[in-house]
Amino acid sequence: MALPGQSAPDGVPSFKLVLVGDGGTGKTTFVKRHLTGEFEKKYEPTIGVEVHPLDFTTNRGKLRFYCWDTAGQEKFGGLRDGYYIHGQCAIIMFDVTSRLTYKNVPTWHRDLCRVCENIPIVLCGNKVDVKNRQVKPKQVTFHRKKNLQYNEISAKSNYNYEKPFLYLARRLVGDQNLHFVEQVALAPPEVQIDLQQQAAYENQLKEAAAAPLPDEDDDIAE
Amino acid sequence: MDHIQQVLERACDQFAVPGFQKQAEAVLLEFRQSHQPFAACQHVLQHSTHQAAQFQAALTLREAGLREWEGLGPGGQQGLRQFLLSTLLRDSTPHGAIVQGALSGAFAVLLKRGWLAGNVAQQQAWLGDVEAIAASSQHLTIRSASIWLLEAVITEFNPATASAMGMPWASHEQCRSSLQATHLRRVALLVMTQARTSVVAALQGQDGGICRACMALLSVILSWDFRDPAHGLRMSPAVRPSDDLLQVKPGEAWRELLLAPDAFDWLTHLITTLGHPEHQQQLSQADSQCLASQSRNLLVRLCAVAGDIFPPKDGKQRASLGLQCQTAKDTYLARVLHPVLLCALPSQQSVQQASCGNQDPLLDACRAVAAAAPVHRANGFHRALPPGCGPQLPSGVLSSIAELTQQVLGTGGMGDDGGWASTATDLLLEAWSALLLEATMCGSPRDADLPEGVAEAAAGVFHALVLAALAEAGKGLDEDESEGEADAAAANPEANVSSVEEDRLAQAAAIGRTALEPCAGLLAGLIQQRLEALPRLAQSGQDASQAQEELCWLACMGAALVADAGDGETPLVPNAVADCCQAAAAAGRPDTIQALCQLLLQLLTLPLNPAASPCASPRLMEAAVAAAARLCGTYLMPSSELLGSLGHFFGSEGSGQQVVEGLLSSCQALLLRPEYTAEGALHKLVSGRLLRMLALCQPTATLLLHSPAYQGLAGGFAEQRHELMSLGESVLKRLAEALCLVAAAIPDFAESHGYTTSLLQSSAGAVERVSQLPAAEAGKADVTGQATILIQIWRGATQGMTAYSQTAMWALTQHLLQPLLSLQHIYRNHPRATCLLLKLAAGLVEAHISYLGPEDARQLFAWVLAALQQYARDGRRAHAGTVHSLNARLQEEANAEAEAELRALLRLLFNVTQRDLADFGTPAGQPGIDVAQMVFVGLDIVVPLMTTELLKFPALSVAYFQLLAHMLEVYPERVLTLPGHQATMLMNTLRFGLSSMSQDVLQASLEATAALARFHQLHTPPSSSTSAGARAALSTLLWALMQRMLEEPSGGDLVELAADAALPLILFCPEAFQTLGHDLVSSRNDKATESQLTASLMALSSSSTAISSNMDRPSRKAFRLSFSDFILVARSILQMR
Repeated sequence: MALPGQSAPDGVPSFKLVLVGDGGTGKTTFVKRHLTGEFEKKYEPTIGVEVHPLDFTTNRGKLRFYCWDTAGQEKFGGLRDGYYIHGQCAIIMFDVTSRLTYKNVPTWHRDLCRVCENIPIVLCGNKVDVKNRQVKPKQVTFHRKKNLQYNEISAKSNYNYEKPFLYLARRLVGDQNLHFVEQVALAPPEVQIDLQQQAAYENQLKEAAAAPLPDEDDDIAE
Repeated sequence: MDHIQQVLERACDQFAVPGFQKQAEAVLLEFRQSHQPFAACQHVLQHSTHQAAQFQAALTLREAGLREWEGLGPGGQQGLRQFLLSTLLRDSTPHGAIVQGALSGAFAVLLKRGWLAGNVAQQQAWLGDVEAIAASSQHLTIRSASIWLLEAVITEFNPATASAMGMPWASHEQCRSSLQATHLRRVALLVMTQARTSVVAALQGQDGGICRACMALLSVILSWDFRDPAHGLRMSPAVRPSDDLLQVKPGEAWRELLLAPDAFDWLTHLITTLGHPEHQQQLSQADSQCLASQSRNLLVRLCAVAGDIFPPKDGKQRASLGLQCQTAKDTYLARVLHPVLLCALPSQQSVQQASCGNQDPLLDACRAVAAAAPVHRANGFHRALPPGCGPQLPSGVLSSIAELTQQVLGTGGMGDDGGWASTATDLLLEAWSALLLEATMCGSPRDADLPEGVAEAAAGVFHALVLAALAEAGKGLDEDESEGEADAAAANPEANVSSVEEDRLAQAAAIGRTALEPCAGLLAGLIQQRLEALPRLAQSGQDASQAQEELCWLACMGAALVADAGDGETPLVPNAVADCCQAAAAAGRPDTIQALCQLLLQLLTLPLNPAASPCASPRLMEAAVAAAARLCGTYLMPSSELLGSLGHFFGSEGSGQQVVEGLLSSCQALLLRPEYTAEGALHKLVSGRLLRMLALCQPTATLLLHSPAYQGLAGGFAEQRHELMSLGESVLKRLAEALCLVAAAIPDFAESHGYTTSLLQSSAGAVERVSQLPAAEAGKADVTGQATILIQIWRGATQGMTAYSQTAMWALTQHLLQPLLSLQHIYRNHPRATCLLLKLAAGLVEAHISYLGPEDARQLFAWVLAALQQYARDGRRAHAGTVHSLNARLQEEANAEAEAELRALLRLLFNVTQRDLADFGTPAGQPGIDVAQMVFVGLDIVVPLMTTELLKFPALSVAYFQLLAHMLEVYPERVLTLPGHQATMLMNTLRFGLSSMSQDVLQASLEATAALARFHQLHTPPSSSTSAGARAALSTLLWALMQRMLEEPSGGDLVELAADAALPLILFCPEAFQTLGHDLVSSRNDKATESQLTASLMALSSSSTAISSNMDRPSRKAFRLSFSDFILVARSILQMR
C-alpha cells in the first residue's frame, strides 16, 4: 500500500494519514505522544506540515501510518488542502474546551472529502481531561450526520489514545477483528483523567438532565 | 510557461518522497504565494497531464483569486470564473476526480466572493449556465461535472461548510439566504429529475456518474441549514442542539417537491436493484459499492426530514372524521423506510454479511431508523408499515426492527470494542428509546396507545439484550483488570458500572417497561437461578466469579427496570409498574414485580447466609446496595397507597418493617465484618446512600429507632467505638449525617433533643480534648488523623441537622466554637485540616444562620470573624510566597490545594452574606451584625491570592465572581474603600471574568460590573477626586465588555445583562465610549461597512444619552433593545471568516 517514494520496512503496509483541525487542538501533541511518549506542554504552532511515521503491531502484522500533521492556524497553513492529496485516512481533531474548534469541523471535513474521496475518517474530541469543557458530548453530532467514527480522547492522560488508529486500521485492512497486539508505548499519564466526570459527560449523550454535581467532599484526596 | 509547468510537475513528484518533501513543499508554496499566478495556473491546467500539478494549480488559482480579488476588477473576475467553468465543463479529456473537485471548489469560492456585488440578474447568469448544462448537456461527463459543480456551490454557500475568505459573517448569511430564496429548490427539482432519468443507465454503468453526483448533491441540499429568511440575521453558526442538527427541516415550501408520491421511487428502484446479485454483474464491484453507499447516505438524510414540511392538521382532520388511514407523514415514512429495510432485511442475512466485513449496509440502515425514530415514533412506524403490508414484513415494521436488534445483540452488540455490532447496538437502542418515548415519558404504555405487537417486540429486544449483557459480563473475567478501561468502571464506586453501561441500562429499562411483566419475570428467573447456584459453588469451592459478575449486572438492570434514579428528587412509582401491579392484583396472579424486588433485596442478605457469604464479594455487594437503595427510595413505606402485593411487601401494614430490619442487618454486616475492612467505596454506599435514604423518610426513620440493629449502630457511634471509628473519615461523615437525620422522626421534642445530644456529645468532648493538647502532641500523625475524623463527623452532623434538631445542635455547637479556633491555629500548616475546618465553618453558618436570634447570631458571627482573622494571620497568605520556588508539578499541587482552601473560604463568605436575607433586625440598644465587615476581612484575604492561574479552576472562579457580584450590588460603597492595590486586583479579576468562556462566570462578572458602574454613575460627582481614577478603571471594563460581546456569540439573556452593565459605563465614561467607537469604525477599510457601523454606533449613543440619569426601569429596557441591535449589527460586520 506504500505510495511511490514512501519508504516502509519490507512488507509493512503503510498508509497516508492526514491529521487536520483548528490550531491549538492538540494535533502535534497527539502525534508526539506516540513518537516520544512525552506529553508536550508547550504550544508551538505547526508551520505547514510535519510528516511522521507511526508504527503499530497488530494480530495481522505490523502496519505504518505516515501521519501528515498539518497546521491548524490559517496564517501558518502553507499548502493547506494541498497536503491532502493521496490521503488514505484522516483524523479531524477539535478541542472540547473550545466551541469554535468544533464549529469549524464541517469545513475541515468538506476540504478532506473534496480531495480524498471515501476515506475512513475519525472525528476526535481532544482534551477531555480538562474540567471546564465547553462542547458537551450531546452537542457532538457531526459524526452522526456524516457517518464518521467519533472518539473522545485526551493526549494528556492517554485516554482512548489508540482507538482512532484502531478504527482506521480496521477499515483500511478490511478486518473488523484486527487488534493491536502490543500496548502502544506510552509514557505514564500526566494527569489522571477524572473518570467520574468523564462518566458524567458521556452520560449526557442520552440523558436530558444535567450531570449531578460530584460529591463536593470527594474533590480532595481522602 | 512550459518551464513553470516542468518545475511544478517535478516538485509534485518529489513532494511524496520523504527526503525531498520539504524542498518540494517550498517550491509549491512559492508558486502558491506568487503574485498574479493566473496565467501560469491556466497553462498548467490546460497543458499538463500531471494530475498532482493540475491539482496544485487549481488550488493556487483559488487562493490567488481570493487574495487578489479586488485588484482583478470586474473583467478579470468574470474571466476567472469563465475560465474555471469552461475548463470544468469542456468536452475534451476530463480531469480526474481530485482536480475536478479542486476546480469546482475554486469556482464555488470565487462565485461566492463576488456574489453580493452582482444583482439578481447577474447572479442568475453566473449560476444559470451551470444549471442549464446540468439539465440538458448531451455529454454525460459534462452533465455529471456540472452537477458536482452545483454540489460545491451549495456546500460553499451553506455557512456551516463555508470557506474562510475574509468576509464578514453578515455577508456569508446574505449569500445563504439569497441562494436559498432563488436557487436551492430549483436545483433540487433539477437534480431529482436528472436522478430519475439516469438511474437505469447508472445500473448499467453508463450514466457517466450522473446518478451518483445527483445523490451527493441531494444529500448536501438535505444538510442545508434551512431557515426562514424572515427570521433575519444570525451571527454565526452556533453549536445547535443535537436534534436540530440531525433533523432536516426544509419547511412547507418543500412539501410538494419532497412529498410527491414519485419523488424518490427511483431511489427505491436503485437500492432494490443493487441488492440483487445478478445486477451487480453489470457494474464493477467498486462502482456498485460507491453507488450503493451514496444512495444509503441520501436515504439517511431523507429519514431525518421533519418539521413543517408535513401538513400539521392532516392527521387530526382525518382522526376527527374517524379515518384511520395514513397521513402524508406516514406515507412519506413508508416510502423512505422501504428501501432502508431492504438494506437490513432479512436480518439474519444482513448481520451475517456484516460479520463478514460488509457492515456498511446494516449500519446505514440502523442510522436511518435512528434518524426517523424521533420524528415518527412507534405509532408512526406502525401506521406507515403495518403487519402484512409486504412480503418482507409479515408482522410489521416494528417486529422486523426488533428482530434485527435481536440479531445484532446476539453478535456481541453489548461489547465496547468499537466494532460494528456495538455501533449498531448503540444506534438501535437509541432508536428504540425514541420509538417508545410516548410510552415512557408521556404516561403509561396503556395511555400511550401503543400499536399492537409493540410490547411483544420490545420484550423480544429486552430478552436478547439481557442475554447479550450476561455473555459480556462473563467475558470481562478473562481480562486483566489492572489495565486499560477496566479501571474506568472500577473507579466509579457509586455506581459500579461504567457510564456506557449505565446509559444502556437506562435505554434497556425504557424498552423493558413497555412489556414490564415478561421482562421483570425474565430478570427474576435469572437472579433466582444464580442465587441458588451461589451456595453450591461456595460449598464445592468452585469459582463463582461468572455468577457474581452476572448478578452484578442483573442487580443494576433490575433496579433500573422497576425504579427511577430520582437524581435528588423523590422518585415516583413508574406508571408501567403501577399498571403491572394493578393488573396482577385484578387477575389474582402472582406479582412479578414484587418477586423481582424481593430477589434484589435478597442479594443484600448474602453476607448473612453462612452458606453463600463467601460469594458475597464487595463488588457484588456494591451493586446490591445501590439496587436496594434505588428500590427502597421508590417503594419502601410509600406515602401514597401502592396496590397489590408489592404494596403489601413494602408497606407498613405488610412486611415493610421486616424489610427495614433486613436492610439494617445487612448494613451492619457490610460496615463491620472483617471481610469488608477497607472497602471504602462499599462503606460509602451503605452509609451515604442506603442508610441516608432510610433516615430521610419519616416512616422508615421511625422504624429505625425501634430496631435493635440501629440502636447498636447509633450507640456504637455515640460511644465512638473503635470498630466504627476505623471506617474512615468520609464514611463517618456520611454516617453522622444519616444518624442525625433520624432525630427528625422522634415525635417528642425533648427525646429528640436527647437523642442528638447523646449521639454527638462524646465527639464534641473529643474535639475539646484535642484542642487542648500541646502543639507537639497534636501534630503527631495519629492525632491529626483523629482531628480530621472529628471535623468530618461534625460536618456530616451539621448536614444532617433539620429544623427540628437545630436547638440541640446549636447547644452542642456553641461549646465547640472556641475549641475549633484552637484547632485552626494548631493545624495552620496542615492544608487538609485547614480546608476541612473552613468547610465546617461554612457548613455551620449555612445550617444555623436562618434559625438564630440576634444574640446567638452575634456569637456565631464573632466566631466567624475571629476565624477569618486568624486565617489571615496564619493561613494561606502566610505560605503563599513559598509556592514560586516549586517545580511545575509541585506548583500544580500547590495550586490545587490553594483552590480547595479558597473555595471553602468563599463558600463561608457567601454563606455569611445570606444573613442579609434572613436578618430579624436588631433590638434597640444592641450592636448589629456587620456582615459586610466580615466579608471584607475575607475578601482582603482572597483578592490578593486570586491569580489568573487560580481563576482557571471553574468552580472557584464561579464562587468568587458570585460573591463579588453580591458585594458590589449590596455594599458598593464599602468595596470602593478597599486599598489601592486590592482595588486594582479586583478590577483585573473583573476583566478576566468578562473575558471568560464560562457562562456562569460571565453572568456574575456582568452583574458585578453593572453594580459597580451604576454606583459610580449615581454617586460619584464628576469633579470629585476619585472621579478620574474610577473613570480610568471603568473605561477598561467597558472595553473588556464590548470586546467579549463582539467576539463571542452570547445568548439573549447575557446580552441583556451586558446592556445593563454597558449603560452606566457609557454614561460614566462617554469619552471612552467615543474612542472605542472610533477605533471600531477606523478598523474597517471599506466605506459600506464603515457607514453601517457608524450608524449603528450613533443609534446606540443617542439611545444612551436620551436616558434619564436615574436609569429607571423603562429607560433600561429601551437601552437593552438598542444595545442588542448594536451587538447584532456590529458582530455581523466584525466577525470574519
